[in-house]
Amino acid sequence: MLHPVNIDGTLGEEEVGVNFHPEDKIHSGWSLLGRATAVVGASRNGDDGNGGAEGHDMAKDEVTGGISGEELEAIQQTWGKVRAEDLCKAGSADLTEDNPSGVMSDQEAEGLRAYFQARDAYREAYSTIARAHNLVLKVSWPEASRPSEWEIIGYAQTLGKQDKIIKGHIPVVEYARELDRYSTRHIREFLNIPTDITLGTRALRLTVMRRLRPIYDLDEKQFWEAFWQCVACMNPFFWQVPRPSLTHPPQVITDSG
Amino acid sequence: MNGIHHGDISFNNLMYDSPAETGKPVGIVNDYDLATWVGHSTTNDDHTGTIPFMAIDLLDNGLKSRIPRLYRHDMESFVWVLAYITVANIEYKDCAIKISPPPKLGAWFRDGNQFDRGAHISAKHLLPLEYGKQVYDGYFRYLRVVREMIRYWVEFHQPLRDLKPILRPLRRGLPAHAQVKSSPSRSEDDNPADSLKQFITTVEKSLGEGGVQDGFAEVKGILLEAIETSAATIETA
Repeated sequence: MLHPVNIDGTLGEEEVGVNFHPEDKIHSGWSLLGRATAVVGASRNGDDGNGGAEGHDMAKDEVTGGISGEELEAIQQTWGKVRAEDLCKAGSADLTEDNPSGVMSDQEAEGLRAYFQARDAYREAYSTIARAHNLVLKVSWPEASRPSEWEIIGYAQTLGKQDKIIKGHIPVVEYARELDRYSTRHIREFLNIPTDITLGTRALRLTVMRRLRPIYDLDEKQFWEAFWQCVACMNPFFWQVPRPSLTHPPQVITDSG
Repeated sequence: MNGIHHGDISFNNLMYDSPAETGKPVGIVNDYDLATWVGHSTTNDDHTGTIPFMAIDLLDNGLKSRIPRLYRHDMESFVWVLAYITVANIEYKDCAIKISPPPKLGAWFRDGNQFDRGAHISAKHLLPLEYGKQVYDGYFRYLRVVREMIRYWVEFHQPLRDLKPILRPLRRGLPAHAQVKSSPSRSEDDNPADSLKQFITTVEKSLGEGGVQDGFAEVKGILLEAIETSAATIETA
């Protein structure tokens, strides 16, 4: 059971249930720089029952993702054009005698078609799954002294109420919980291992966030626009207002269950 | 300056969502796991991040100097992410999307030990030259501007004179505009306004035609306005 996160990053009182779908592999776990972070699909309690399994089957049935001959021709023309013009402009055109205009070969066109087919299929399947599991659960073990992700995001949300460039460009945390019971401090105490306070302690934090999609899946033009929105959102001048007084150590809700 | 340094701008952490109201995708910066409050007691100068996207001077100086985290480090990371996404192989298979570096830029993603660090930094230094050969078809229209953005950061860290011995053999046969221009003057390290302004100028100068301005023009306006408002606030205070 988790707690709803208020707009300012504090945790709510009541507990809520969230269904998790570890079989949803789209957000796989990753581990970088010793951070152990896992992300699995999730949805609100009772929203969709067995949405997970259905989602997968539906995805397989619905996906056809074919490209007609006409479409392929259009793609070929556009891409051929883009390639020749932009390459020449950029000065690195690989224009040879065999390929004076930079138009792609049949083999390249076939590869491109396969690429677009696979992309359409992926997007279709992803949308279906994302409708059923519109949340993700992030499990992480950061240093307990670090401000929690939901506090930082809560702060950003507060700022975002005034700034349109932040508003909508930061993630939304729905529920969260820090489980003291699984912290390294608790485990050390339980095992009666002498605690060196300079070592700090790691805490288990669960964060449920609205599902997002990787920016590199966007079409080029949309990607370019979204990229600049990200850059703008991270500019330091919107983050200048005085930091709110944070509760440190972060709110720990003792896990008795 | 108060605020947050994200500290881990990487291709994994830039995401998008399509709000139901508009259906138009909006960019979202995700994953504040490594974010630091500037001036906060728990804030340290740990060089966190995802190595391929970390600022060159955070990597280059190693442990010799404890460089404080600066806003421009995040800004530089954005450029490495942009460079990566526009050259990466993106594969779709069933319900999965996989992104991987093109084979020739392998050293950029080598992050095993201290020896790889040199190869990694060299790969970043040479990227302005390699970039044009690697860029993925759909991003050709952004080739010029992205390359200039990469060049800006490479030259920011390493003035032109230091690079000349490396570049001379490589420059032979390149068209005039692909050759390295004079180095931009290094901006004050702790002055985000200057960093940002110089960076915007660089991007603006190298923007081509054909929809490349879309997305940037609006952001530019907002950023410049923010810098001015911020300067005015500081003066009155």
